[in-house]
Order: sequence, then structure tokens, then C-alpha cells
Amino acid sequence: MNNSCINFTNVNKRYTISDNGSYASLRDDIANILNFKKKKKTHLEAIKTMSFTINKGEIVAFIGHNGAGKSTLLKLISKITQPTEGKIKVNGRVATLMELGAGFHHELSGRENIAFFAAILGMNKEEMIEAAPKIIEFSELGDFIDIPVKKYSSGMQLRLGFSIAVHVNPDIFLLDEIFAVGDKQFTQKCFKKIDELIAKNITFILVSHNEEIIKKIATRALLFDHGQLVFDGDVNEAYNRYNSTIKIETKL
Amino acid sequence: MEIIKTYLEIKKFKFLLQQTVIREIRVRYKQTYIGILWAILQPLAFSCIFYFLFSYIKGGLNSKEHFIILFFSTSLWTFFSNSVSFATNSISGHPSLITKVYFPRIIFPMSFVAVSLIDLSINLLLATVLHVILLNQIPNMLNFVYVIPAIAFIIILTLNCAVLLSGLNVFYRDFKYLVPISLQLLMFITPVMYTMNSNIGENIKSIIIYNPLTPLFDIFQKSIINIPVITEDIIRLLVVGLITILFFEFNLRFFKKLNSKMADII
Repeated sequence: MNNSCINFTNVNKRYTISDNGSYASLRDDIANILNFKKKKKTHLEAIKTMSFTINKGEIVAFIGHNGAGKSTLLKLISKITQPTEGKIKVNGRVATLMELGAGFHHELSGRENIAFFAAILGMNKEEMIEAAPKIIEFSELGDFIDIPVKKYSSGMQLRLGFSIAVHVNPDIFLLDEIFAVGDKQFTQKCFKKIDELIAKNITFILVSHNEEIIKKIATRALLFDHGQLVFDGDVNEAYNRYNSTIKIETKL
Repeated sequence: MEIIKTYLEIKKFKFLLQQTVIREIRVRYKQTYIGILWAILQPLAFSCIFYFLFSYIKGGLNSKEHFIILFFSTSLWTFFSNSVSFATNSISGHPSLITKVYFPRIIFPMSFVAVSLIDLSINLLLATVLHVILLNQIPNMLNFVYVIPAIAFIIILTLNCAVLLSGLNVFYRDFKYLVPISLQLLMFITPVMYTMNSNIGENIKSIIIYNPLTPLFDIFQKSIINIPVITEDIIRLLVVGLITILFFEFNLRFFKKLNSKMADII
């Protein structure tokens, strides 16, 4: 029965935007307290009361315009940020591949970064030692592995990041726009690896603007618009709806 | 108890803490010629400056003893000051990590304290060697009863400051500027370049006793050069120690609150 691995119940996420820029400063806050002035706050509702369940082994695509709430959802799933209201239940180890090179230290070599990045994704020492040679082999970096990451091309950084993430043995894999870079050969290798992981019943959540790729892998799609879930189901149907909204907007 | 909860969570992420420390040491000494020797140079330079500049506040010690005590004290001070100043920016300095991956954020300030702790161990070892060479005697083993708790409480106090400031600096970047000034001022009211027996004037002494670092440094200095420790010193040590531990509990609870908002603000 307990097949669900991600469960959102009435989740709401509000960001507070203060009127005087993004950073608070101690001076302003103290001045406000002394003047008994209430600071004007603007709320931005990134996720409006949302509930859904994702089951183990599903390959779900998050579709929507920029600002629809896709990235916020990924952050909520990976516990990076907390919901304002509602409950989120996540069962299993989550591996996030959110952005190119996020988490790499540019002064250190690829090999040194593997240890750190693997640790951040929740690996322990034994797992890392066992996985390191596989990661290096999969990344195809060869001798570059001992060169500081700052000298890597963006494609090489992507290869290293992806290689580490797939070898962490996650239960849930969050991929955010990772097919943007990387050559055809490596992309195909990634697909092969993803297929392998799918066979192992690993849950995938994909965010990409590449319709072709999504249609090829995903088994289910969630369509979001301005923080609301507007469609849940078949991938092709979701894209039909999504594309129709674009057409209307361009006509206007 | 938040202390136990935090301990358990860090234990789960032990490998990450270890990797952060290794990474920090590698980054710090990468492309430097003398590498880890920089860790020794800082307190050594400070103690030399104080030795020549403030010889009139020896406090009844001979020159060799004076130098030894300066080196021990500045090593300990360097630990406190480096940990706090590096830790302040430890979370706010990694916005890409904080907003892209989940891990216990407390690992960052803690790892900077751990790195400075390695520096401290090297320095204390060197100081002990100097003690043996210059004074021709091994430090009195009985005094370790005081030295070890004094160092332990200083470590907890340092963790307190590091965790609190790293969290606050995410919300108020003012702390980045406030910390270096405060540390400099704090050094003058802590027995680092003088001892409590030095002739520094009653006015200053009446301020110094309110500094929580004072009883810790005082008992540390007294034990090193074999000045008898009185009951009052021990009571002060224990009171400060107890307050520090209690404060740590509240501090961790406060950090947990800050933690839930960090990724949205940074």
C-alpha cells in the first residue's frame, strides 16, 4: 500500500519581499523598531495550496512557464526550503542536480570535488571510495580529473556533476534543466544510465524546456501555472494544454 | 535537547564535516609556498610583537616565561578569533550551495572551528616544545586538570559565537563588518598580551572581569607558568563553563529557526 514516495498535502509557500531591497540591514530594522513603523511587506505566493502524490518508480515531468513554481517545488522536495503551510512527506534519499557546477569548488581538482560533492549528497566514506572509480570512468574526464575545476568547460562540469549524482544511489532523482549543455554522445549516455535507473524503480522528477526529451522519458506530467496545479496526467495531453496557452498569449 | 539532536544529525553527516574540513585546509593553503606553516606564523608574530612592545607588563615573570606565556595565550586567541571571523561568512559565502542542495547548514560554521582547532593543536604542541627548551622543564602535569576544561570551554564558547554569527550574517550582512572590530576590541579586554598579575591598572581590571573569556584565559595562563590557582578561579571557570553550555542549547534552537528561512533570504 505504501507506494507513495512524495506526498504533498495542502502545501503553501509564500516568499516575503521587503520593500527596501533584498537584504535586510540591522540599521534599517533598528530604525524601524525605534520609529514604531511597521515595515511594508509584500508577499509572493509561489505555491498556492497544492496537494499531489508521486509514487515510487514514476517518471514525472514538471511543466510550466517561468515562475510557475517548478523550481520552488524541487526545493521543497529536497528540503532546501520549508513550506509556509501544509505537510510534505518524502521517503528515501533525494539527489538533486539543480544547476551546473553548483557545489563545486573551483580551486580544487575534479577528484577532490568528487569526495565533497558525494558527501553533500549524503554518501559516507565507504560508499564514496567504492563509487569514485566508477564516477571518474563514467564522466570520461580522463587525465582532467586531477586538474582544478576552474579550468573545465561547462560540458565537462556537467559530466562530472551528473556522474556523481547518478552514483549516489538515490531513491528520488531531481533533474533541473540538465540537458541544456553536453554533447550528443554524452546526452545519449545519460539516457542509457537513466534507463538503467528506471529499471531499478527509481523515481524521477524532470524539469526541462526540451519537449522532445520529456515526451521520450516521462510517464506522467504535472502542469503548473502561477503556483497552481492545473493538470495532472498524460504527458502529451499536458503539452497540448501548455502549448495552447502559449498560442493564446502570442495571438494577443 | 537540541544539543543531542544536533549531535545526532552531524553524526549522520560525519563524512561531509570531514570533507568540508579537508576542503577548507586544501583551499586555504593551495598555491602557498610554506603551506600549513602559516598557521604557526600568526601567533608567533603576535607574541614577538607583544614581547618587545609590552615588556613593562610582564607581571613579575622573567623574559623567557613572558615569551612562553605570550605564545600560549596568542595561540588560544588566534583559535578563537580565526574561528569566529571565518565562520561569520561561512554560510552567506556559499549561496549556490545553500539554495541548490540540502545538508545541515551548521556543518559550515563548525568546520571552520574544526580547521582552527587543528591549527591550535599544532601551536600548543610547538608552545610545549618551546616551554621545555626555554625553561628547561616539562609543564606541570597536575595543572592539566585546569588546562583541559579551560580549553574545552573556550571551544564551546567559540562554537557558540561561530554558529550564532554565521546564522545572523545571512540575515544581516552588517555582522561581517561588526565582527572584526569587535574581535579587536575584545582582545584588549582579554588576558592575551598580559596576565591578571600585570600592572594594567585597576580601571581596566574592573572591566575585564565581566568578559566571559577572562576566567578561561586566566586559569589557562596560571596553569602554564605554575602560578597557584585559588578556589575563586575554579568557581569562575565552572560558572562560565556552565553558562556557555546552557547558552549553546538556546543558541542551537535559535539557529534552527534561522535555518528554516535561510534559503529564501540568502
